[in-house]
Amino acid sequence: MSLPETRSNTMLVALVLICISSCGCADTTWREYGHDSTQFSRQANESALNASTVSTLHVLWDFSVPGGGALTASPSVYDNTVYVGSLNGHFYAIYASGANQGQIRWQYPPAAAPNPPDACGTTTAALLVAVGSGNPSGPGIASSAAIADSVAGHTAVIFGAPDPNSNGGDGRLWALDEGTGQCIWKSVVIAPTTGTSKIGYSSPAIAHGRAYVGVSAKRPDAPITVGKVFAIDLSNGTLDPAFSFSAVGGLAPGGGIWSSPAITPSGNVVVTTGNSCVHEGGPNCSVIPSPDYTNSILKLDWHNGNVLWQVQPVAIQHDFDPDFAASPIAGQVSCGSLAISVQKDGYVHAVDIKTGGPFSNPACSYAGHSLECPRWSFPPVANLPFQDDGHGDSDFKRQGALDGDHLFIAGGGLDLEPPPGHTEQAVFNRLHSLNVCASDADRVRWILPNLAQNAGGVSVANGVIYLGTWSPFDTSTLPHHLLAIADTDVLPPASFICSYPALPTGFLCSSAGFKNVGVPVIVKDVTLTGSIQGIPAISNGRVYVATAGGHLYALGK
Amino acid sequence: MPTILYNSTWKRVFLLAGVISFFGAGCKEKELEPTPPEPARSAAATRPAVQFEPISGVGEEAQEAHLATYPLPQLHSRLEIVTIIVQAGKPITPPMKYEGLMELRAGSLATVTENNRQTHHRGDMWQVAKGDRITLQASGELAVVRAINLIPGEK
Repeated sequence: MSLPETRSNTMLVALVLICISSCGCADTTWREYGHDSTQFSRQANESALNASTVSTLHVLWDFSVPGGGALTASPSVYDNTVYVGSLNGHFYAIYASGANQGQIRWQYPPAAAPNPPDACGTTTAALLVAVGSGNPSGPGIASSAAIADSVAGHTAVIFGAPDPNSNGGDGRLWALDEGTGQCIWKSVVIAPTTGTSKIGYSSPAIAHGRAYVGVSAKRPDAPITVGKVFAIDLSNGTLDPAFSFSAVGGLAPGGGIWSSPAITPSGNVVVTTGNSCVHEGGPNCSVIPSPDYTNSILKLDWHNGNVLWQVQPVAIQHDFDPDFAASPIAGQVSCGSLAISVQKDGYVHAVDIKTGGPFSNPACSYAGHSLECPRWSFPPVANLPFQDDGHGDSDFKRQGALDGDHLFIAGGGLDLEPPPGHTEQAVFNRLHSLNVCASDADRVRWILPNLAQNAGGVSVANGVIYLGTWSPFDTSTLPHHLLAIADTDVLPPASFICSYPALPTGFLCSSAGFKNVGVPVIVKDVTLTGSIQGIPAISNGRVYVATAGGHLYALGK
Repeated sequence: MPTILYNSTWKRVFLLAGVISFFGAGCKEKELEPTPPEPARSAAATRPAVQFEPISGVGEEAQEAHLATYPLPQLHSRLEIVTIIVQAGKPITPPMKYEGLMELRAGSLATVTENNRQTHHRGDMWQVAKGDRITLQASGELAVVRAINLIPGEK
């Protein structure tokens, strides 16, 4: 082999290695709710923001929704544009940076109706449900957008919203060209106004050339609806007839999908479901549904919607509204693959995703139910399902973020709550960092306690956790906070705290079987207008935050 | 051996395929969704479902279930433990037949006594006296109240 040929081959190998190591790593977009369909809410390719630089985080621009309109969806970022829909029924594409940053690139519906009409029959009417819509997941757009390639030749922005030109707001998915905002298609109706459901917070998860999305009640549980997941063909917006999932059988409704599906490493679908009507009253509610997929984390076969396993932590007879508002996180960690979510009662459950199925385990099942056990729960639980009356809505409604084996999440539950009467130590205003692969004894890494408001959506990059504070059902302009928190791996803790809030730090804590853990440093606290209902999106040195007060912020150093 | 294999372009192709298969082989060995052994757990002990009934004189917005009764012989009394479900919507005013304690077990709730409205969160406890007129209103979708009543004059 000649010397030039050797050099040439060496260069070729180097080129291949560079390509393999870097291809895909430069993607700084935030394409879906929770960053991508795993919903880890982690930006792996952030180069500017870290624990050293985030101390100068400040508002770079502030887009105020024209005429007002709460933003309860989370922003998505792609092509130097931030995408978010409003409860006022308009969807906005805002320039992220450059000379036009913070200004509208396009909005939908457009200010002037297309002439001739486009594929959606678009007018200038806002995408609103006319009647019975229910805040804060209506009357407009609460579904976060997903960016999908190869949608009838376009890169598309896809979200769920009512169709004002169809029976006063039939719920559909909409696919718009990401650059122009022109309609590519609107899907078949999946939440007709004649029924009891709508597309609320559920945001599409993109996989297998389909968008998977769920439906929930028009108003929170008034009346409860039948939760369903649909698979929409990305090429044309038609329904994939092979896929079908309903959360209940029989006549009693239940199991609304208030959250967004996640996709497992092998492509199956994980969803979390809402409560039954067993204690809320209504026709047929005295009958336990069969099957009963309410209040559950479920793994569904992506081909057909068949249930591969179900974890239902609270038995339906004790369903006092502890259901899942939070979306699942699903993906690989160092100890396998886990699906993780938090229930409204504060308990975090992590389930082995597993190959194959269906699976069930008699240890976690009860009459009429074939349930799987979680790998672990936090706080630790000896037996499931719960069968007591203390599991209800304690405002744990936001999913966490996952960075390696480190989960950041607002969780709690009865076992961590202080004695009766000590509500000042309520735990919904604490952020936990949990090691998802550690033993129960070593689960808690650190705790950020005593936030002035509820701990809400979380995202993470470079060991900095971005946490929005929020207030349930609050669409006012009351100030809330975006916190930049340094993980204790990148900055030493500011102090220490007992992992059980009613005990003091020190010997009493450890001798009672709890752990003295660190309190991380809040590197930056930025006050913003309105409750932060969704997840902060991190992209290209900026953090994008939407508020229910009607503002979209870009923050940077 | 055909001369075509001496062609440097083909060598590069083989080299490229080798590098790709090397990295590809590494990826294939990792199972995407491994199936670990089930955690060891004791068998689930299923309790009988609690039977709720409408509270008499209140309507369908509230239901109660008697959980347990404990005799207090030295006080010539007994303790009665009741779970009350208050559904969202219409405020209810259940009859307070006995002195006792109430604890909010799940959800959120407001109590109204005469003109005094008080919001309660999970874990809050409050005392009630026989004959009190206390109105309960669930702030969210549902609230669960545990009532511990002291019933005098009985064993």
